[in-house]
Order: sequence, then structure tokens, then C-alpha cells
Amino acid sequence: MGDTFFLLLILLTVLAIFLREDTILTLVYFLVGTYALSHWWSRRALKTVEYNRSFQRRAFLYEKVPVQLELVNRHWLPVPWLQLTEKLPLELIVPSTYRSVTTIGPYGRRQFDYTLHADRRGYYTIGPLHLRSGDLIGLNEEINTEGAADHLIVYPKIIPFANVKLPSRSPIGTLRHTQPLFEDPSRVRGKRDYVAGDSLRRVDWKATATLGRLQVKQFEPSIALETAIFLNLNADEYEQRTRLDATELAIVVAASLANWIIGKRQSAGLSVNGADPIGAGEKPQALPPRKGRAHLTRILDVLARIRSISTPPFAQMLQHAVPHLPWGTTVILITGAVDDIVFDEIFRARRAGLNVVLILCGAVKNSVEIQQRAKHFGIPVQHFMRERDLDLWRG
Amino acid sequence: MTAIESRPRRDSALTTLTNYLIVSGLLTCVVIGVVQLGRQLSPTWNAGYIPFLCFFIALESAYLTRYVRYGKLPVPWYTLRAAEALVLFLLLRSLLGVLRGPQPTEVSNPFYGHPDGELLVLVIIAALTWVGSWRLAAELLNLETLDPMLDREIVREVAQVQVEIRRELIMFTLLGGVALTFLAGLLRLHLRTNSQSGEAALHGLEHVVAYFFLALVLFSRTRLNLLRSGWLWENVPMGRSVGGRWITYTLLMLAAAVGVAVVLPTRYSLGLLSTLGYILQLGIIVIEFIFFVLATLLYVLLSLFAPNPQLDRPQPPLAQPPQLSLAPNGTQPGISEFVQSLIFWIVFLIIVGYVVAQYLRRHPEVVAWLKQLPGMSLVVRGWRKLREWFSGLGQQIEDLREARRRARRPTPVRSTSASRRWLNPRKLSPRQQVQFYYLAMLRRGGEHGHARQPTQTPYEYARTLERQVPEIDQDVDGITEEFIEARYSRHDIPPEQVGLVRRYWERIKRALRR
Repeated sequence: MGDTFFLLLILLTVLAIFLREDTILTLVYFLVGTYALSHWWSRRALKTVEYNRSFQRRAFLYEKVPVQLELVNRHWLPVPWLQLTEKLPLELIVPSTYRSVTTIGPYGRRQFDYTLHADRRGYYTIGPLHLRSGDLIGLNEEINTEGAADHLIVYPKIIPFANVKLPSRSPIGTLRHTQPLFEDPSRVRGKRDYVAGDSLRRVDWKATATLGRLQVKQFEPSIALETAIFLNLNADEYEQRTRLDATELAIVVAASLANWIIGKRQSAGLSVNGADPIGAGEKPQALPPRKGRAHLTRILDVLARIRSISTPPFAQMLQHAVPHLPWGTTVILITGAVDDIVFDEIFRARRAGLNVVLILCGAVKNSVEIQQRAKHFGIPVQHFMRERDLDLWRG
Repeated sequence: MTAIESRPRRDSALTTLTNYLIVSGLLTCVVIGVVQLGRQLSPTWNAGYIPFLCFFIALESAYLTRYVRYGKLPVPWYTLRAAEALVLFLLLRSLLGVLRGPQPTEVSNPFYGHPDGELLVLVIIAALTWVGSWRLAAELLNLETLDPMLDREIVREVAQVQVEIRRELIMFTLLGGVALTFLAGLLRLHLRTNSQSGEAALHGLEHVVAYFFLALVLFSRTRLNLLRSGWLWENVPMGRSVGGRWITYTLLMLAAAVGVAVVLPTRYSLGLLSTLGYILQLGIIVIEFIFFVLATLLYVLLSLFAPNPQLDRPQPPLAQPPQLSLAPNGTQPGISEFVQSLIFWIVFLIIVGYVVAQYLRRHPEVVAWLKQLPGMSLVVRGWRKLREWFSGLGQQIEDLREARRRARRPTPVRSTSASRRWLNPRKLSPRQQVQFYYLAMLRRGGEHGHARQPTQTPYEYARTLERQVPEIDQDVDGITEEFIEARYSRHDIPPEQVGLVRRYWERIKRALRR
């Protein structure tokens, strides 16, 4: 319409000049005024619209996440029409866009609600919000703006374990243990008569004085379970047919173990290869073993974001990370394949005083051979084909 | 949550009525123009009722078009429309008969004898109104009709067709408006040139303004229809208030535009060149007046130092101040007319400039073509220089204002001992001496037009100064490095370093003096 309108203006201006008519000039002013006002209004109106997207930034699997999108007009000039298009991840909502058309009065606000279904682990981009507006007559082009996007983290599935047995050589912790080597002097189990060979340090002098014969304290053995979880998400080291399920199962195992360990007030760390969308160069950052819920949140954040891609071999990650672990640390390797190099790293870790646990996920080539070899060398090994197999540790 | 409606619906009864009132109003404005022309040709023509009559004919035709589109017709549509035309003709004939009153001399059979000119004109006007309303109403129906149950692909195609329909509707309406304006303007010119100013005043152009006002309202409504079709295709739900507020905002905007148009000047008595000529003349007069004042002062001063011995002689008359000759006689306009014309031309040129700028903004290919014209590069370069000069002037004015603001600010009170200490650099510590020489360089640089901006770091300032005075680049680098060390380091500054800085400063000072 714009060109036709300009043509009209030119014709009317020529008429006004030739006929020297006041009213035609007024008409020209009116039409130019309409054009200028509509041009100014459509541009001004969208500049003053602000939006705010509020929602819970982290969600557990199968949780519903309500999102409130509020548009605010910070100007006395109303927004005559506004089309908003919010791009959303297809995994969380169908259709993958939220759209609406509205109008906002002077200093007015509008709220739009929609719900995301956190049915799949991941790090999702919510938005960006695309705003489109224009004038009322169609004299000018439409205006488009795009806002910033937010992110939603959907945690992986966490299975509440109750019956996990992980070896540890770290004495004096909070976990009860059967190995008398790890007796904890702060956990007195009872007293007994002194026998030859008992350390004098164990003599309970008060009880001795009361009973009139030597009494020694009996301590309960305990361990501290400092665990480093190594999760292999190198896509090349999983069976091609079951890669997606196997890697997801591996992530579920890692998340559930981290949850169990930290729930026991022990330290857990995570090293993973794969792609982290917010890592430097998409490289995930290793988390050293720490205690506390905050640290569990960090581990779950990483496990929510991580994606399986082709990376350098798992053994390479072990070569870099294992030497830095303190003596007695329990190392849990979660992987879809174990080759000789990985076995070499496992033996090296054992020699360094670490406890290694091997967990195989999905369909693993030569799994029987791997399990026999691991058992031969006294390495606990567990193979989970599917999620149902994890019931073994549910208790 | 905003209340939304699932799909756009067929226009409501109120929307339809509004649309058809607008269409009827548009056609009535055209009829007013035609009637004005007819009355000029035949002053005795009693045609005051025709606009009202045509308004109702247009309304009826529009509604019947809608009925033909959506209603269950008992007969084919062309039979219905033919019957409608016949009824309207009989109605017109009867109305004309009633208005004329009993005329016994006239033959009773209207189809026999000489044709009735008045009836013929009335029928032609009414028929054109009827057809025009039919077409506009049909196009409006094409723009509104979108069945939500249609396949999305069909909806997309219909939406594309609607864009074309709207373009044609706009073209048709605007061409009608231009024709109406031309007709009305010519009529008024004719009346003015025949010294019928009173008659000209009677035939105003308000109906032309009303026509364009209604046309813009119609365009706004069709734009909403078009957007709704697109939203339907994209499955975008629309807030209920959008349609309601649309018309309100359109009317408010158009009312504001009318307000602006009424306020702006339309009358002028001087042409553009004459106005420019008078501005030039005014400038010359001002310069002459300044010279006159200066010459008078000089004359008075000289007469004080060199008294004239021949006082008794009659003095030659003093030069007279220049007169503004805008209104020396009745033929030239007065000051008020000049000012009025000046304001008019300024406003007019601003508007023309705005329109041209907007047109060029929308058509970059025209700009590219213009740039290829011979000599245009010179114009563009000149324009850029002018803009740079103006922006530089603005910056200089801003600097001056900033300097004045700074001068008005109270100077921070310094203790007398402190000021005395800074007077003799040799009494300062080596660190302070280095800072002293650096600050001296800043002060001297500012005095010679190389002032350091508040946002500049020492290194940035050094680069600026080196660009402007390249022969002392090493000295500036050196003094800056020493200053940074003296200002931010914790270790002691050796006295020999101060000597080096002093030599840097001496060379910089000499270079800045040149």
C-alpha cells in the first residue's frame, strides 16, 4: 500500500500547487500526518514493550513446569496489535511454538500461561520470544523484534537405591563396615575383658576401676566412601543399535548412584566425556568428590545437560583423571565397552590404592569375557541391560 | 490468562453495519462532488436530496450483496438483483414525481415523448452508486470470508488472494478520491476565476476530506481482516480485545492527524522564490544597518577628536538608516503576510522533505540509481561535509557548555601548603616529580588543543598525542611509562629517573610550543 499512498500524495501535492487550494493542502497534511503518526506509533510502541518469563529453572523428570509470560507496555502509547511467538522445545510441548495475538493499553500488561511437560532429560532453550507488530492501516512495514532465551534443566531419572554395596578403603567414616581393619574409635560397640595382645590404648580405665578387672573397648568398624564416578558417553564405545538407550541408562545409573552416595552423607564426584552445551568448547567440567545437596545439584545439572557424542577414548579420560584421586577412593566406571587399555587403567588404579567398580550399560560386546576377566582380578562388575535391572539395587 | 477466541469468526452485525456505513459514506461523498458539478452546469437543478438518497441506495445495495452471498435465495441471484434495480427505478421515478408536484401539462407515459433529463441524470447517479456499493461490498465480503473449517492450504491460498483484493480495493478507492479531488478543485478554481467567491465558499471541499477519512478507516478494517486470515492460517489465537480496540485506535489516530492538518498553515501570499528573495533582502538590510551603526559611531568619535572649525556652516545630513522595504506600497505584502508565507513554506518544505526521505528509505534502489547520476557524488560529498561540520559544531558547542559548567563549579579548596609544595618541583619526592611533569604535559596539551578526554587512559591519550604531534612520539611514550610506574608501583623511584622524565618534558614542551 505504501507506494500507492506515495503516488496519491504526489498527485495531491501537484493538484494543491496548481489549483492553490487550501483544502487540498489540508488534505495533503492530513494524509502525511496519518502516515507519519502511523510510522512513529508502530515503531515507538514495540520499543517500549518489555517481557518477563517466569518459571522454575530446574525440573525433575515427569514434572509439569508452568510458564508465565508477561508483557508490559512501559509507555502511554498503546500497542494496537502484537503477535508473539515463543519457540519451545518439541520434547516438552506440542506444538513447539506458543503463539498469540494481543493488544496492550497504556502502561498495560498481559500475561500468557502455558505448561511444559518435562518428559525427557535435557537442557532446553525456552524462547526466544519473537514479537511482531505494525501500524493499523498498513502504510508501513511490520516491525519484528526478538528477545533473549531462557533455559530449563530437566534432571535425569533418579532411582532410589537402598542396597548398593561399594568397596572402600578409606577408614573412619560414617558408613558401617564389616572389615575390622577400619575400626572407628569414635564408635564404641561394647567392652570385653582384656586378653593378651590388646593395645593398652583400648583399655577403658573407668570400667576397669568399676569392675575390678581390665576392660577394653570394642570399636565398630566404619569407612568413608569417597567416590568418583567416571561416566563414558563416547558414542563410539556403545553398540550402535542400542546407543541411545544405553547412554541414557548410563546417565540414570550415574545420577542414581550420586544421589545415593550423597544421601549417605559421603563425597561423590563426576567425570564425564560427551558434550555439555554450556561447557567451554562443549567440554564438560569434571566435578571433584564433595558432599552436600548443593554438590548433588551440580552433578545432576551436568548429567541433565550432557549429550553423547564421539569423543576421545574413555581410557584417555581415565589416564588424565585417575592419578589425581586420593588413596582409598572408590572409582565407579560406567561404560558400554571395556578394552585392554581400560583394563590397564583399572589395574593401575588398583595399584594406586583405589577401589574400582565396573558397571556396564546396554548391550556390551564380549560382556561375559569382560565379567570373567574382572572377577578374575577381583574387580566388582555389574551389567545393566535395561532400567528394570536396576531393581537389584533398590533393596 | 488473556481471554482468547479460538478462530476468527464471520464479521458481527455491528462490524458489518460499520463497514457498510463507511462504504455508503464514501459513495455519498462522491455523489456530493457530482451534484456540485451538476448544479454549476444547471443552477436550477434541485439536487439537495440526491446525496441522502444515494446513501440509502448504497446501504441497501451492500446489504443485498451480503444477502446474496450468505442467504438462502428463493430465486437466482441475477433475478433478485434485477428486481431490486426495477424497484429502485420505480422508487426514483415516484420520488421525482412527488418532488415536482402535479404537472398537468406533462404526458402521463414517461416512456413516450422526449426523454426526462433530470430523471436520466438521477438514474445514472443512483445506478453508479448502486454498482459501486455492490462492488465494494463484494470485495469486503471476499476479505472477511474465511471458513475456519477449511483446509490450511486452502486458507493460505485464500489469504494470498485477499492481499490482491485489498490492493485492488485500495487502488479503486484512492483513484476515486483523486478524481473527486480534481473535480472539486477544478470547480472551485472555475468559481474563483469567475469572481464567484461567495459561490466558491459555498462549495467547500469537506466532502473530499471526509472521503479520505472514511477510506483510511476502511483500509484499517481490511488490514485487520487480512491479519486475521494470516493468523487463522498460522493457528494463532487472537485476543478478544484486539478487534474492539482496533477501530478505537484507528479513529484516535486519524483524529490526531486531522488536528495536525487543521493547525498547519495552508494560506500564503508569496511564492517560494519571492519568499526567498525577501529573506535575502532582509539579510542585506541587517548587514547595512550594522554598517550604519558602526559608521555613525566612528563619525561621532572622530568628531570628538577633530572638531570642525566651520561649525557655523550648515552640517551635511547624516546617512539615514536603511528601511525595510517590504511594504513600501500597496502592491507588496506586509510583514505579517511575509511571516505567514515564510511559515507556510517552511512547513511545506519539511513535509515534502519528509515524504521524499520516507520514499527513498523504502526504495534503496532509487537511492542507488540517484548516486550514479553525474555530479551526484559531489552533492553527496558536500552533504556529508555539511553534516560533519554541523555535528562538529554541535560538539564544539557542547564542549564550550561543558567548559562553562566546569568554570561555574566551585574550585576544590587546596591547602596553601599543598599548593606551595607543588610550585617547586625540586622540593617534591621523585615519585611526585614524575607525576608533576606528566600532569604538566596534560595541562600544556589541553592548552594547545590536545586535551585528554575524561574517558582516556594514559596509554590512549599517549596514542592520541602521538598522532597529533608525531615528532615527540618517543618522549610521550617514555613519560607515560614513567608516570604509570610512579603512579601505580610500590617500589621507590630513583632520582635519575626524574631527570629522564624532565628531559622528556622539555622536548614535549618545545614541540607543543611550535
